Amino acid sequence: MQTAKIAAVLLSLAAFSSAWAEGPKVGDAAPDFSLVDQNGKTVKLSDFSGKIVVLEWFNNECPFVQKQYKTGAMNDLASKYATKGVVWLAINSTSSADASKNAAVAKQWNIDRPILDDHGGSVGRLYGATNTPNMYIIDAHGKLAYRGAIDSIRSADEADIAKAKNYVAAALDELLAGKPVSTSETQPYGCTVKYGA
Amino acid sequence: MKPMLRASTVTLILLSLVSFAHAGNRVKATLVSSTPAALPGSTFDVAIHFTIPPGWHMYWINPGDTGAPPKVKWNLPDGVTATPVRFPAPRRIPVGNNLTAFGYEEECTLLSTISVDKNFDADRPIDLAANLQWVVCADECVMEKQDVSARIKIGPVKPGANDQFSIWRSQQPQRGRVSADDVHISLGRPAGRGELSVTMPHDFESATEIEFFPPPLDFVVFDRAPNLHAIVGGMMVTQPFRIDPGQHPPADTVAMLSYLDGKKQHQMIEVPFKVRFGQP
Repeated sequence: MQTAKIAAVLLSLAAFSSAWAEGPKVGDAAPDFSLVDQNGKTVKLSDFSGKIVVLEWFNNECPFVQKQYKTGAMNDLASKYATKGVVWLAINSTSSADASKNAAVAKQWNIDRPILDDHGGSVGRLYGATNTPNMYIIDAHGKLAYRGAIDSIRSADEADIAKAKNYVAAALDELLAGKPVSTSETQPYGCTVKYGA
Repeated sequence: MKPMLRASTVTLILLSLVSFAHAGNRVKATLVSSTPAALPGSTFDVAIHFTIPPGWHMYWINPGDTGAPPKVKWNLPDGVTATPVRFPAPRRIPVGNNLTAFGYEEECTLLSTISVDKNFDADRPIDLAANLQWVVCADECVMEKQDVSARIKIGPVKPGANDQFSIWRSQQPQRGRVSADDVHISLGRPAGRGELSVTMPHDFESATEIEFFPPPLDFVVFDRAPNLHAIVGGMMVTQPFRIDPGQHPPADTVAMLSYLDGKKQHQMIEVPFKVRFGQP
């Protein structure tokens, strides 16, 4: 009778795409931060205590971000939930960005909500933001309720927006209905955040 | 004599190609036929070949931590069909901040098989066209588009007419070597985790540098190293994975098994990844 060898061999550790899981986990308290918006106003996360807050990692030079803005989809989404009391903050951690560049793109793309200047990358790294867009939702208790992709189709094609499941909209609907978020983590997609050295 | 004939055949094929490159694109795309001619009722391969400038890269079906795969929208005459494009074997490309993309540098060639209906009107050539859209990244990412086309004459297929195809086919992963029967996917033990197990022949014992490229599912994360076990009649390689919470649709896609064989030759095998996810 031949006995099967059952020695398990641990293989060489491959490079896994798990770096995105750095930063707060879903359920953790969202770390506070203070950044300057495109109009020079200082914005603190703690200013919005008791409200649902969406953080959107932003880079206007990224085609995956452009897809959401050229179609008006991101502005429509933010406006829809603004009427329900949701705060929406875009954060630009691109090392070459600054408040004046953020002001220019806000005007060009009709963005009436804050685009926060994080060109030093400290808040992006604090949250473990890896991509643009990379979405985070903080619930009214200040806990992280969602982190990941904007939607379910990894593409820069505007035509895919309508076909995709929007994870942010789904999570906000559940939070506003007092329900737990059923899809609370997804792998973000898009460009990498262009952090400085 | 023979080399001259071959050169003229290649010239004919090149002349039959038309592409409309968008000015300013970094990547250049061409649609290339494996044969200058085809008859109604025949099948033949075509290639969509991307030339990628140094320092830039394009993406596999699962682009990894960044990017998106190219999209192909065919525009074919009635009676002509194209299979979904087959992607070449990807490689890992570091993209900074400990992130990794899965894709291609220098070039990327997608293959498709064209079928011409037996009732196709043989009085006119077969005009193939496709609208291509892709993302290419270096430090920055850009989206580019291009229309490509190729005219195939009516005549017997000459499958060996273009030497490039032997190179491009060799860049494809091995398909069919691992069948659905060789693959087992277990879910939910413990909750939120799964395992992909692939039965391989006994000589897989000498494989090294074994790694998987994960399927294009944004809720499945290959977050641990694979394991290799000897089993009766062969070897089993097992890849643990995390399933992010949520309601997920059934998956019918592929992962990729990459390793060095006993002769240190790099092997890439496409692995079916078909599974129905349960409730969270």
